[in-house]
Order: sequence, then structure tokens, then C-alpha cells
Amino acid sequence: MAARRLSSTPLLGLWTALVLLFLFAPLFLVVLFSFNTSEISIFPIQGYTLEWYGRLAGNEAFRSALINSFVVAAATVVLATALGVAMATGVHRYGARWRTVLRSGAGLPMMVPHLILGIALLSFYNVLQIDLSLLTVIIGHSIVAFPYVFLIISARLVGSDPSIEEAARDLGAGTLTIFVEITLPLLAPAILAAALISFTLSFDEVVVTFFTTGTENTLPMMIWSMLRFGITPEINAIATLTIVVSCAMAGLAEIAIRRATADSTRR
Amino acid sequence: MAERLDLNLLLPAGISRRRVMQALGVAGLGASALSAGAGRAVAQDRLLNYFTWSTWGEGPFVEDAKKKAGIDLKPTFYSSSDEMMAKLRGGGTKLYDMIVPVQNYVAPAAKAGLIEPLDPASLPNVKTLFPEFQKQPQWSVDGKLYGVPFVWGANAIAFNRKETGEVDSLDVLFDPKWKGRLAMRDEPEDSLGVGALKLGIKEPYAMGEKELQEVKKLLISQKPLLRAYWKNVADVQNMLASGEVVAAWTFLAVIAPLRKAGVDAGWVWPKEGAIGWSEAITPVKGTKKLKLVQDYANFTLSPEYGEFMARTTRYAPSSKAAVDRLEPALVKDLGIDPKNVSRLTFKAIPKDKARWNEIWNEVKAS
Repeated sequence: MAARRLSSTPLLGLWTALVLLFLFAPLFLVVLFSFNTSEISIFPIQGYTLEWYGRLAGNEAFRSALINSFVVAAATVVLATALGVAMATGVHRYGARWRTVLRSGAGLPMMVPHLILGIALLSFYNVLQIDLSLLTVIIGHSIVAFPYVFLIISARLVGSDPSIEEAARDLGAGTLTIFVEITLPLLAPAILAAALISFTLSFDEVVVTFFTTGTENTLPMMIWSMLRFGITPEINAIATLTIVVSCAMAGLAEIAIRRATADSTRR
Repeated sequence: MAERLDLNLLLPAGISRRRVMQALGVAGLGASALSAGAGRAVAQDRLLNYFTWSTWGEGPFVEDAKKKAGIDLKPTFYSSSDEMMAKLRGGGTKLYDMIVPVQNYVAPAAKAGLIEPLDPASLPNVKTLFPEFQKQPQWSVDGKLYGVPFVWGANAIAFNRKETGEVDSLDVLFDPKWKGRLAMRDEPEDSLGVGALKLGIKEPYAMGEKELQEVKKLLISQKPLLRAYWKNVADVQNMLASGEVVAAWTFLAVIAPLRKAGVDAGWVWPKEGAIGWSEAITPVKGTKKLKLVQDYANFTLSPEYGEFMARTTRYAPSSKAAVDRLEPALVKDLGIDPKNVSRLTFKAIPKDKARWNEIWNEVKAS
């Protein structure tokens, strides 16, 4: 047994390396070609330049799309996380025999294709005579992100020890106090993870965005429409920036989660 | 809040929007809390909400419109004609003042009540265009004019001159000599269109079943010669750059980057014909700024706009006066050959679009 495990270690390492290569090689290429002097994304690299980033910096449409994307993502984080945490806690505590039904209901938006969701929202807003704007995009993105928040929080709730809350109740704490003092701190790492996932989902979303936006563009919409005539180095540059933002988010999440876990074990 | 039938496509017949709103008890909601966005109601006088391809809404075009025509453009981007139609159908007509359709979407958009005709008298610059573009049949529906193209182009053959020498005919795409080094576009209207041109069919987009079958046979026989059916233009550009492909049916846009990368890339409208496209400013149904849209449409037909567009985007202007301002070498580079516009077959939506898709899938699956 021990011998087998030993011999499998280098194989496992190789396998892991291959999987990682498969996952990250395309992203690496995008980053590489964003510094390429040639407009065509093939090897050999002709030379290195920052020209494409310079062009982006001078591009007014790009700047406003970037700002729009950040605004929408930030608002989506707040809305989707608040709704998701409330729903997950509610279902967990008071769902009783409806729990299963409610759980699958909350996950439903995840199953609906974004195209259908986008068109449905568009005609819904139209029926209600709601003018499309970034606000309608934020609502759309919150629907997209909500099930993920719900699932992450629910998983954490299922794994948590109910006796802590029972002890607090025995000591005379009210429902609100328990929620603020016990439940929320326990959920903190999960909430953070859910918030970061919501941010990334919103920051990348293009289909729902297209159908729910008024006269504003977001970054993915801009990339998508620029692709009509091929992949230019400017798109590679935008993609690189997006990758950097996503990686930063993931990194932050990792650090925060570690701190949170360390704190809770110390207590 | 006038009733507009065209926006109610997704409602069951017989139910008015007003009634639905009452039923939902949110009649006031749309008008108050959620109308914070910049809709037409709050737009300034010289502002046009411009639903467009990203190319026509880029910074330089916005600045140019402001500077030379005193018009503020607020562009929102779409990336395919079908997307554009879906958004307008779903209520987007309330948001935008004008769009830039491709000619084959004009009739469907007009019939769906998504666009509005313009007054020919409001476009004095039409006189300065090449005669071929002054009257394009596909831009008029039921005798009403929906736009005059400011830009046009052709999908045709790009070839690697070092490998193939000069090319003047579609034969190169069917030549066994280049087995495995040719590429066609993965799109029914383009590729079945090429097959029809090769067979000498006069009106490809009005083909009947018998002709469709012949085209299918031809394309199936061509299939072993192909390296790929390309979907994204970047793919075919890369294949031409790396030498994997020596000739392909593609867009003009690949040529300039290829030459910059040192490939001796040639561009030709084959003698059998090429497939043309054109785009124009078209007012969206119900715009409150029809006059301003017409002003802008007229501006896009001006020599200044045409020259500016040709230099910044390398697309061909329909304005003869604009082309006269360009150096002959650039004109040649842009693939403009005004004498041969008559050789273009402008893409139309085939009579039986579903059948075309089926035939194309059969070719690909064979």
C-alpha cells in the first residue's frame, strides 16, 4: 500500500501539472499576446510593447464601460449577498418540511440559460414600463448571483453546530441578537466567499447584461461586440486586466477566509 | 404610455399591457422609482441614443460627430444583427433613436415595426454618392426609404500571393492543388452563396430546392479540400498568417494585419461575383428626434465622414466625393473598385431560411 502510494506520487504530480496547464495555458496566451507588437495572435512573438494598454487608457468608451462594470458588480454583491444570506438562514431555521422545495426553488435561476433569463427580464421590465438602466442590469445580475450565494451560505449553515445558538437563547438572547452576534460571525467566511463569487459572476456577465441594459455598456459587452471583427491585441489587453481583477479577488478571498478560520479556531 | 402593439409580442393576445400592470398592482412603479436611468425623457436636445456596432460608436466617431455636426452620440453596442432585433423586439425601441442595420435586416425590421422611414429630401448628401448606392433596393420597403448606406464592403477571397500567384476566380477555392489549405466561412448565407456563384446561379438568395441540392453537392465535393470552416475571423486570419491556409473566403479586415505581419496577402472579388453588405443609419420606430437622426444620417454620407471613416477603420465609404479625397494606393487597399459594384450580390435573407440552415448542416455533417 505504502509502495503504491509512493510510486503514484510523481504520476499524481504530473497529472496535476497537466490539468493546471490545460486550465491556465489559454489565459497565459492571452496575457502574452496582449504585449505582442503584431496585431495577429500567432507565434513567434514579434516584439514586446505596451501600446495596446496605452490605447485603452486613452479610450473614453473603455473607461466608462469599466466604471459601469465596477458599479454594477459592487451593487450586485450587496443585493445578492443580502438576499441570499437572508433566504438561506430563513430556510435553514424555519423551512421545516418545505426546506427541500425551497432549496431547489432558490437554485432555479442557476438552471435557466442566461439567454432565456435575459429575454424574460427584458419583456418583464417592458410590461411594467420600467426604463432600462444600470439598475435593471443590477437586478438581473442579482438574480444570476443569488443561487450561488444561497448554496454557499446553506452549506455553511448545515455544517454549523445548532447548540451554540441554543445556548445563546438559553442565556436570554433575542432572535436579532443571536443573528448579529452568533450567526453572522459564524457565516463570515462563507459570506465573503459568496460576495466575491457574486462580484466575479457580475463582472463577467454579458448576455443578461445586453438585454437589461439601457444606454450603458459594460466591459464584457464591449469585448463581445469588438469580437465581430476578430481578436485584436486591445481585446487581449482588456482580457488581461479582467484576469488580474479576478485573480486579485480570489487572492483576497483566500486571505480573508484563512484569517476568519484562524479566528474561529482560536476562540 | 401609449399602447404600442409591436412591443407586446410576448403578451398573450387580448391582454393589454395596461391591464397586466393593474393586475400586478405596480402601475406607478415604472414611472417613479425605477426610471432613474437616462431614457429618452431626460435626454438633452442634441443627444442621440445610438444602438450600434462597436466600430461606429468608438471614441473618434463620437468626437467627430460632436465637433463637425454638433451632435452628442451615446452609443450602446450590439454584436450581431439577431441580438439587435431581439433587443428592439423586447422593448428596446423605447431606448434608442437610431440603429445601423445590415441591408438584409431592413425588411424584417420594417415589417416587425421596429424602424421608421426617413425623408429622402433630408439627405442632400446622397447626390455625392456612387450611383450604385443612391438607390439600393434592399433599403426600401413598400416604397419607403429606411436608409442610405454610408459604408459597404464585400466578402471575397483573401489569398497568399507567394503561394497561389494572382487569383481572379472562385476556382482557387475548389482547386485540388491546395488540398487541406483552403478555408470557407461557417455561415449558410455566405457559403451557400459562394456555391451558387460558382454554379452561375443568377439570384442566389432566391434559389429553389433543385438549385440548393446542386449547391449542396458542390460544397460536399469541396469539403475534403478545406482546412476549416471558420467561425471567428481571427481564426482564418491566423491560419493565413501561419501559412496553414493559402486562400480563403473571408472579410477584407484580415488583409491589413496580414500585410503588417509580412504576408503578401492579396484580395480579390472573383469574376463570378462577391457577396456584398452595406450599413446605414436607420431611425428606430417612435424616436422623438427623427429630424436629428436624419441630420446625422446625412452627416454620415458627407465626404468628411467618409474620408474619416476610411482612414480610421479601413472600410469603404459609399461617398464618391470621399473616395476622391483618398490616395489611389489607399483606395486600392480598401478593396474599392467602384466600376465593379455591379458584380456584387447583396446578401438577402433567403426565402426559405430554415431550409438553408438545414442544407448547410447537411454539408457540414456529410
